[in-house]
Amino acid sequence: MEILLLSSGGSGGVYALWSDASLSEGFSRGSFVAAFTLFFFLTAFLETVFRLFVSSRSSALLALLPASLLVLLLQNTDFLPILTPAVIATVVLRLFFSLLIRRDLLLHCAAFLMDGAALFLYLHEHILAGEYATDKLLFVALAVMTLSSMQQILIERGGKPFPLYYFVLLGILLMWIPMKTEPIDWTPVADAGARFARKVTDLADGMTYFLSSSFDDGTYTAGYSSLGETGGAIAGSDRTELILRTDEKPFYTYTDPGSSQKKRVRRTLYLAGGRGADTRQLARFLRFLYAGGMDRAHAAVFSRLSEIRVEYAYLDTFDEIAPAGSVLLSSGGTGSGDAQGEGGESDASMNDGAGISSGVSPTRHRKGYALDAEYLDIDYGSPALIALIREAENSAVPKDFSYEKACEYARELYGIRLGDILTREEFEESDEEGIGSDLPLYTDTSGAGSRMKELAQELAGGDLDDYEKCRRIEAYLRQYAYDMNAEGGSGPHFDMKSTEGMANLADRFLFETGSGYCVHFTSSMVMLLRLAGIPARAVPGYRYVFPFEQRGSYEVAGNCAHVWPEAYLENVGWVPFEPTAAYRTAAEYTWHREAPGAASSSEEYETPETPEPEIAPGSQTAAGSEDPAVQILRIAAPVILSILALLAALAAGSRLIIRMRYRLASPEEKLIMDVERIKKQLRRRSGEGFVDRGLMSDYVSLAPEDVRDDVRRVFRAYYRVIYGNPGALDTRPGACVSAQENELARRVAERLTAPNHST
Amino acid sequence: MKLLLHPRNLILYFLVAAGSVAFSSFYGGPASFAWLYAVLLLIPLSALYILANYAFLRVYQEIEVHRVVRGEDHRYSAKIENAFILPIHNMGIRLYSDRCSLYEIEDGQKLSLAPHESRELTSGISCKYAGSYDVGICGVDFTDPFGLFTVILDVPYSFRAVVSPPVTDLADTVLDLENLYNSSFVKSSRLAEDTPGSDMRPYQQGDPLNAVNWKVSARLGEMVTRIPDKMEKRTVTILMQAAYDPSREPDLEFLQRRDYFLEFAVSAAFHFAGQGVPVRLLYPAGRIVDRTIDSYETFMDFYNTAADGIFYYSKEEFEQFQALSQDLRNSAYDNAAGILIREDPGPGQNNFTIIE
Repeated sequence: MEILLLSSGGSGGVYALWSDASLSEGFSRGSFVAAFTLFFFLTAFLETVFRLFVSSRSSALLALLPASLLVLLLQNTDFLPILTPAVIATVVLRLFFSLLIRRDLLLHCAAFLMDGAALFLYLHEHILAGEYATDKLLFVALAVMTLSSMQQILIERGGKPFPLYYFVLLGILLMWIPMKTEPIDWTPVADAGARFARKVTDLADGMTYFLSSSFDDGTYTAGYSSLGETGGAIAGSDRTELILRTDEKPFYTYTDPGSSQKKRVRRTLYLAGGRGADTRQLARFLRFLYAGGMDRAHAAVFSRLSEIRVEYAYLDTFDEIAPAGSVLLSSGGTGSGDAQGEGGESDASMNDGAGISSGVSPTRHRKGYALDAEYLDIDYGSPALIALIREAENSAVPKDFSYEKACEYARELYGIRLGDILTREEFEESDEEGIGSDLPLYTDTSGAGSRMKELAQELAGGDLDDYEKCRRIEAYLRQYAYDMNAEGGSGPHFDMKSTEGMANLADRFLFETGSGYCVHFTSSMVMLLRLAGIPARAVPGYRYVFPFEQRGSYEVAGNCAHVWPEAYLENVGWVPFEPTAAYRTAAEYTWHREAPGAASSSEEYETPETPEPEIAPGSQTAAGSEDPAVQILRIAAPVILSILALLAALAAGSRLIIRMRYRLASPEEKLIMDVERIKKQLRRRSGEGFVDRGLMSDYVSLAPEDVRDDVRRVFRAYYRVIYGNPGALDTRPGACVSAQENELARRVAERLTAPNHST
Repeated sequence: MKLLLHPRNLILYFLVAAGSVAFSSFYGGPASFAWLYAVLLLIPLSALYILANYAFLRVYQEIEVHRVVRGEDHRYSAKIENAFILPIHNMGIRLYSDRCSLYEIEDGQKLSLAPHESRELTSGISCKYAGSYDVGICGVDFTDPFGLFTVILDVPYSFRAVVSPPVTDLADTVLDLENLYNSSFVKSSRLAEDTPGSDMRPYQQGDPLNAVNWKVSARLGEMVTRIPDKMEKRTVTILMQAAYDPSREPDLEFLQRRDYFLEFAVSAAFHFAGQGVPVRLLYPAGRIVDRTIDSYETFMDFYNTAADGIFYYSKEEFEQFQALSQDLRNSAYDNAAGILIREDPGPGQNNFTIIE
């Protein structure tokens, strides 16, 4: 304990007293502590050896002699200047602790005091934070000392303490364990808990899913519900319905022009149900771009071709759910590692890798079904695209955009092999006719009341272009409150499948309830757009906002189920809008990309230059100076020799003193000393098994046969000297013991001491 | 091995550990982690320390005599040695207090040993039951430095004593001796009683008066005496039906039953032998042994082996002995008589049954 306290105390004191400035002047804190510890152990070892000859306090003083010699030797050298203060500190502290009264008790108290001091320095002065190995040494020593003291105070309560070996072992173990300078990071534990909770939830969901599939009539949907929504109150659901897998980054980066900082904007993905690959829309969009004179670089400002894998989780539907703007869909077989139902399994195995042409499958898709999608990711909030849309409404349709040109153009812009996904007939059908025969379907306003027409006229009247009308209607609707606890239509049969249903939902929403969710907003926008003369439709599916961190998979919960309106703009095609107030519009999550030629900020980060390490003057060995090994030898040799000389002097001195005492002693004292020597030799001969019961007869039995009688005679005289009645015997020196007995005792003692004396 | 937890200290320990974790959750560096790891390592390190102490603990026990008699005092000594480089602190010594009394050693006495230190404990010992069983120190216990748990471990080398039963008058009060004697038909091959024979010879000085054939003497006019014949003495048969349960540990109940069983058998044999009646003993000593006690030597032979010599090699011997007992009770021995002593009497049975 004392050693630990000293070593730790020394380091703690050093930390407290020395500033970094003083340390930088060739005065290494770590070296000092190491030197201090080394000298402390050296003096402690010497003290233990010297204690064989002299008392403990004398041994402590003698142990300091070699240290003093070392200080003197170090005065004449500039090598390792740290050693001198370390030796002085050792000497002072050793003396201090050697002369302490009730040292053990004080050490216990000191442990707690030093704990407080170290914690104060750590918490208030912000030092001892673990930058140096000696910080760790200090706190490990303090922990060990504190535990040892607590053990003695609380458990032993003044009794014999638990062996220090135990606490030293503890300290050694602690020194092996790495200790971070940061606090415990519980994030992995929290994540593990969340993962566990999610697995439990998934398990429960899976069970519910299969049970519902087994006992339900097969019309079960969760979150996603095509257009069968009646607009009644709905509850949120965290249940995972889709799993998305993509290697692409889930965010776009851009440089904020105001702060010139790099920023990220999360990607937002609309997944449409029952649509499939909309190749005609692709043809329209290509034509639109061609008319606008877009090349690859300009198109990349607001569009790009992306890939994603969509896996069905908690779903049971015929609809193919794929990103809006999908150009190529193929069945991806089963999802990775997820359980699946019978229908999904057979469905997936049948269609594995096959192209998907229709938006609604003849077979039911269940958990485990997956599809791979290539889709055009379009930034409808891009100012460049918006400008292009506005121009397109008034521009003429290019006549030279043939099928072959379209194939070439698609390959140039996005690398799409249009010929593989779109036939000439399909391409030509999309040409000029717009939405062709479907136009009445998307302009139907059945069920719309007069007040709704008036509103449409009010919002979209005048000389506005179609896109502007759409934006105005969108902006108008976004003023309405979002409320999931909304009311539906006038009756349960009013839903979004029919125009009348949408009109009824919109009418109640716009003029009676004033609040609703996506179903109400979309119904209203579709009806208002149609009343304004713009073909419109509602698209069911999901709206998913990617997180900032890239993952292997992304889970789309039931809460992401959404329905949104799309308006058909002449020469452009279907354009989505977001009237639902709870969600951001395309303009708010735009990619913030600028057209080529515009001033762009640098995408490169500045890499700070690594400074060249400076070599402190004096740390290098000066030319012509003495070899360090020789210097160490020059210092160590006298010290070691002095220690050996001291030991020899102590051994010889103690023998000399014993002889002098013997020579000057009275015959009785001589006899007693001889008897003690005899007893000591006999004990040594008997080994460990001998127990001194205080009986001289026990010693007699240990004596060799040839001297046993002599030993017995000597002991008899010894008994007489010790236990003789002073009143009955002559008390003068030499009166109790004869010279023969003295001689006999001396002879026996010498014979037993002789190394060649055999038993 | 048995583990005792000390709830109060454990609760305190977990509170300290929780506080350390909380501190380390807000502050990093060795200031918090050194203490946290130290607290967390206390239990595993203590367990390792204790196991190391136990692995290198040597306990040698002995009693000064080879054969111990129940209730008599003997000298007992135990040498306990720590052969490890780490000291042993406050090791508790646990005794077989239920079966023996150690006068100078207390149950639960604490002992600390320095590295490579050995200590000898001596005491008087008195065994409470007859039989063969472990006596002295049964185990040691170690407690961790902060009193969180105590591990009780069996002593590495146990000491088995063979305790002979004392000869008492236990059997006298329960045996109908005369009846047994008269009903016995087994003869001793060594002991004989004198009966008047039919051969005669002239009277010689010293012949007992009851040997004189007065009728013939009167007819011949001189004293004629009958030459005595030697007749084999009839014996008593004792069946010692020991219990058979090889899976059972010699617990206190077993020792008490074995003690009564042995004492009864030895006392009965000694009782009859003291009356000059030979005793035929049937008992299991691995296999079934049929031994007749009709002298001091034959009694001592039986007595010396009784304490640890009654057992069955297998169930086969036990069933064989059961059948033998049943045969005897069914008088298959033709008018044989004896005593059946049971070590483990069943419900409604006595420890002994006199078979007539």
